[in-house]
Amino acid sequence: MRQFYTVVLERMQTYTGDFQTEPYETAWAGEAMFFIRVHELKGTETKLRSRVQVSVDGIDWIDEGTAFPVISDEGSHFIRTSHFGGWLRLANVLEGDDASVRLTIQLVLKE
Amino acid sequence: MRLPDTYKPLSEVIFYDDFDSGLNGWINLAPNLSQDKMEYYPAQWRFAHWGPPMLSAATFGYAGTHGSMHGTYSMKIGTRPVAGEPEEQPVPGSMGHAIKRLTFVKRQCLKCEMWYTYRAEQDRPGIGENAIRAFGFFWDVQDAEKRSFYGARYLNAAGGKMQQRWQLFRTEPGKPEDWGDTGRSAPGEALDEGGEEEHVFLQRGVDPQWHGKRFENGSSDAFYDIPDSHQRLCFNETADKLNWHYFSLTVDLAKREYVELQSVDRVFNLRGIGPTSVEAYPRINQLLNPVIWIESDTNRRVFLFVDSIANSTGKGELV
Repeated sequence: MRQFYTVVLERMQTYTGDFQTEPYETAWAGEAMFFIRVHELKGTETKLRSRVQVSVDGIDWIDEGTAFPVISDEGSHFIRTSHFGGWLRLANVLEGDDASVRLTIQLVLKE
Repeated sequence: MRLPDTYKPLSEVIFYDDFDSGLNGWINLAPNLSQDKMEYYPAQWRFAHWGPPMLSAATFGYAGTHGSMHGTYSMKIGTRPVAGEPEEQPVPGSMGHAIKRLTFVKRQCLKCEMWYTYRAEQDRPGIGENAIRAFGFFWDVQDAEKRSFYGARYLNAAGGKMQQRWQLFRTEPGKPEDWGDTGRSAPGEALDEGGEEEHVFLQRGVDPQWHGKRFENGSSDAFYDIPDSHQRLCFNETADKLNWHYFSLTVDLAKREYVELQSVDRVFNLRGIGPTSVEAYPRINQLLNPVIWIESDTNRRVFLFVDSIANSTGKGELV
């Protein structure tokens, strides 16, 4: 049976600017999904742009190439990725006037 | 259950987790959700951002994969790159926790053993030894009358100054409101949201790893200094070199007292020292929650790696 683990990286957290999720080690996993649940989105023309990044050491980060479609509404969103090596994180850019987003982010890993 | 010879368990092994086969039920420590909405109790919001456990291959940019003592993976618990002053309550993200949730069958001696190591993130020059405030292990245990916290931590540094001594959970008497936010923290016995009395409120002594009055030297009124316990551990000369350490803590649930702490080659007799106990909480009968945690001292991530951990129980032949 394949190993499985879901980790909650952000828990109903509010951001008003760009942010990255904390580095998470994924060497044992072969596939991953990131889920973003937007509980609340405020401001004018607010947009959240989130993209997957990989790293060899958890310190130096490079775009993996997978990105969420631009998020401009409350609700749930996900992306898939695989063949990512030892680390994953999401880099997030928040655009808009007086923009804020309250969200939960989960990383879903399977062997 | 066959354990490596480096383990010396009591007569019955409750669990042995070597993290080469998953996280074995270890999960992040998160607050209680309110009964009437999917929100945390306001008194607990600041505990919603502790670092989670992860399976770590201990890989470094200039050293490669260090692996673990018994294989490739260890369980790593990390903080965010934040810290409060030693006198402050821990700020969100400045601690990382892993908890496993069981119940206990026999009220007798209980022993935790683990092989672990600890490092600061290699994101800047320097080994970062004084970036680590403290790390430790504890049990949250409830018998028919009392909920007790038995724990030991290595107080490593505070405000950049090395401390390097061992402490036990043992809370000094005082007022509940000086311990922490005494707002609602859990549903009451009747599971009725109708009134204040149907909720659980913080009792002085609960969750000593983050509650209590803290001092400049990194200690607090939640901790007792073990006499003559200053110990320099093996903190190797660069941030990507790991040396695994042996830790064990033995307690007596029947007598509600500590028995023994071992750290590498040092053994401390703790008989006669009681844990922190409060009146039993509703609904958590026979609770046995082992917890591992680490706390940062600066704005640098710090990590605790656990190669493997065992809990065992027995009548206790020690000391």
